[in-house]
Amino acid sequence: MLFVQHTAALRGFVHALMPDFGRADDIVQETFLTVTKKAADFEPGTNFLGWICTIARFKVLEAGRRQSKSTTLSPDIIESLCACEPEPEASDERLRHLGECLKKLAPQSRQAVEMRYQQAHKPAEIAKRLGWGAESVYVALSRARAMLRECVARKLAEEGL
Amino acid sequence: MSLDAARLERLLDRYLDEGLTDAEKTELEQMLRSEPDARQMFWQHARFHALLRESGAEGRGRELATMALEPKPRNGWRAMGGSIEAARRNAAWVVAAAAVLVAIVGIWLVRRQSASALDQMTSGVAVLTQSVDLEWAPGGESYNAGSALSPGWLRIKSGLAQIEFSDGARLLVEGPAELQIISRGEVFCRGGRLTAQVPQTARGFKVASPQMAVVDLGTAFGFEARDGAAEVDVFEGKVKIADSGAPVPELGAGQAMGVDAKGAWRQFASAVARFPDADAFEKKAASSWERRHQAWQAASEVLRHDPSVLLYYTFQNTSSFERRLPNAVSGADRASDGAIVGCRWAEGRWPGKNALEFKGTGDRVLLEVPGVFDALTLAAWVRVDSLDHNFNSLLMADAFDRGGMHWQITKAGAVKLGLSGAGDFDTGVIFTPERFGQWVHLAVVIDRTGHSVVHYIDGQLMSTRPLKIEVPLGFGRAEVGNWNPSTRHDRTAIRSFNGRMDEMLVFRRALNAEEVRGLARNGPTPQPVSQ
Repeated sequence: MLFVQHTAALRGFVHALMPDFGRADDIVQETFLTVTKKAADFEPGTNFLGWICTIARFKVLEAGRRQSKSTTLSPDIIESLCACEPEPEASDERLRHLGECLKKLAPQSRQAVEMRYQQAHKPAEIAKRLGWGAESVYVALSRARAMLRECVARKLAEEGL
Repeated sequence: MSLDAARLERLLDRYLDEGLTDAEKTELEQMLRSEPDARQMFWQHARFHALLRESGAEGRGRELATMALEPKPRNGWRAMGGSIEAARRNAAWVVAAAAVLVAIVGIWLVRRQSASALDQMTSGVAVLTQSVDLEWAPGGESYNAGSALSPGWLRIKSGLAQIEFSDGARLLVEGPAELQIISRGEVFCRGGRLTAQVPQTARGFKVASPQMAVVDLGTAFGFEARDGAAEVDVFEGKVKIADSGAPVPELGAGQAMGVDAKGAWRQFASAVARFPDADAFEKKAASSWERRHQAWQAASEVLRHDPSVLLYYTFQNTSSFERRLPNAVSGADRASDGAIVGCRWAEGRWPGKNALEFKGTGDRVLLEVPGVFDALTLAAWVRVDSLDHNFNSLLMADAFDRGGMHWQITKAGAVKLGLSGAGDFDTGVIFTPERFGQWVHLAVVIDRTGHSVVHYIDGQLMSTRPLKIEVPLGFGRAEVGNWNPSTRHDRTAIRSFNGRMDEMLVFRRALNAEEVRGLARNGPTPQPVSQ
C-alpha cells in the first residue's frame, strides 16, 4: 500500500542512478516485487521510502555489474550520491509547468525530446531516425533540458512558491 | 573550489543520455567524488531528467490507450517503432499499468475514507484558552493552554482554567474540579466551582450536576458542585432551573439557590465573591507569569554559562526592531549570532516572554554553527500554527553533506531528523491539529558514540533509534525556520515554518532523559513554585 504513494519518488531515484529507461522500469518492477515479498521485514514507523530506495539501490548495483558496457556509475559513487540525496520534491506542479514549457520548444528540439523521453529511444537511435549526426542529438537534448529547467524554475518562481 | 560547472554539466548530460566514454565516466566520477557541489548538481539534473521521463511516460500512456482503442496503423514519428514484439511488450505493460491503477484508486478511496473519519475525530467543541498554575489530577488527561477540548472528562487538581466553548460560552473553572464536556453547549460538573459567562449566541448553555441542572437564559452565573450538593448564584440576567423539584423555575440577578445531597432546596442571596471572576483571574495570571519569568531567568542564567552549550537563542529581544539574534552563551563569538530575515517579534510562552514568529515563506534566521561533533542535542520551544509544506523547518543545514542535519516537521505532523549519511529518524505523528497553537518542547539527541537518535516531546521520550554513521556531525551554515539549499540553482520546495519559536538550544553533547526533562520543565504546565 505504502509503495504506491512512493512510486513517483522511487522512479525519480532509479532514473537518476540508471539512465537506461528500460532497465530503470525493470528495477522499479523488481523493487516492487521484493518489497511485496519482504513486507513483513519492514518496521512500521521507520522511513519506508528510505527502505525501498535501499532495495532499489542494490538492484541498480546488480544491474550495473551485469552490463558489459556500464551506463551506471561506480558503486562507491552511487553510495556517496545516495548519502546526499535531497528529499523528493512534489512533482505535480512541476509536471504541469513542464507541459507548458515543452510547447515552447522549437519543433526540432521538441521532436528529439519526445523521442528520448516519450518513446525512450537512445540518442543513437534518434540520430538514425532523424537523419542527424550523433553529436547534434546530444547537443539538442542538453540545450532543450537547460531551457526547460530554466522555464519550469521561472514558472515556479512566478507562482510565488 | 575548482569545480568547472560547464564541464560538469556537459558530463552529466552525457551520462543521462547514456553517451559517456570510459574516460568521461572516470572524469565525472572524479568530480562527484571530490566535490559536494557536484553531487548537488547531479541530483538537480538527474531529478529533472526523471521529471521529463515522468511527463513523457504520461504522454506514452495516453498514446497506448489510443492505440488500444483504434488498432489502425498510424503514421509519423509517433508510431511505436512498428515491431510486433514491441507492441506485445507494450500491451503487457498496459495490462500491468491498469492493474496498478486499480490498486491505486482502491487505496486512494480507503485513504480518503480514513482521512475523513479523522476529520470528525479532531473536531473539538471547546478550547482551553488560559490557565493559571493549572495542575491536572494524576491519571487523567492533561492539556496545555491553547488545547482544543473534545467531549470528555477534565480532572483539575488545582489552579484556574478558562474554557471557551465553540458556541461562545466562557467558563472560569477553579480546581479541584471534575467536569465532563458534553457538547459545545453543555457541561456536566461532578465537583468544582465555576463561573459561566454566556453571550446571546450561546443562550441555552447548560450546566448539569448530579443534583441540579441549570439552563442559561443570557447571563453570568456561578455554579458549584461538591459532595452531591450544588449551588447556583446568578450575577446578571436569568437562569432556568431544569429540575422539577426546585421551588422556583427561574432565578434572576442577585438570587441564588442550593440543593444538598439529600435533595433539600433552599434559596438565598447570591455571593459573587465566592466564584472565580475575570479580574481575579487576570491578577493571579499576572503573578503566576511573573513567577515563571523569574524561574526562567534563573534557569537561563545557568544555561548561559554551561560550557557544553554551543548555541542559545532566548528570543528575548529588547526592541521590536531587533534584527540580530544574539547567541546568549556567555563569551560566545558574535559570528554565531543569528540574522533575522522577515519574522516578527511576538508574545512567547507567557506575557513578558518573547518569541519570534515565522509566517511568510521568506521568514528565516540565518546562522552558522562551526565545528564537527560526536554528539549533539537540539532543543526548542515551538508553537506550530499549521503545517503548510511537506517539510517545515526547525533547524536545517544549508548543504546536506554527510553528517549534516535537517531538523523539521513533516506535513503529517511527525518530527523528522534527516541526518545525511545515516538516513531519517522520524517520530510518530505529534502535531495533529489539536496541538496547533500550543507551546511544545521538542528535543532530539544525536549520539554518534552512543549509537542512537532519541526524540523527546515535552520532556517525554518519544522514540529511540539506532544510529550508525562514519562521519562526525555538524551544521555549518544553517537556517532556523526555513531552508536555504545554497548550492542549488533552480527553485526548490518551500520549507518555511509557520508558528513561533521561544528558546532554541544546541548542546555539544548527548543530554540524558533527566536533563531533557529539566529543559522541558520551564514549560506549559508550570511546576509548583514554593512561595
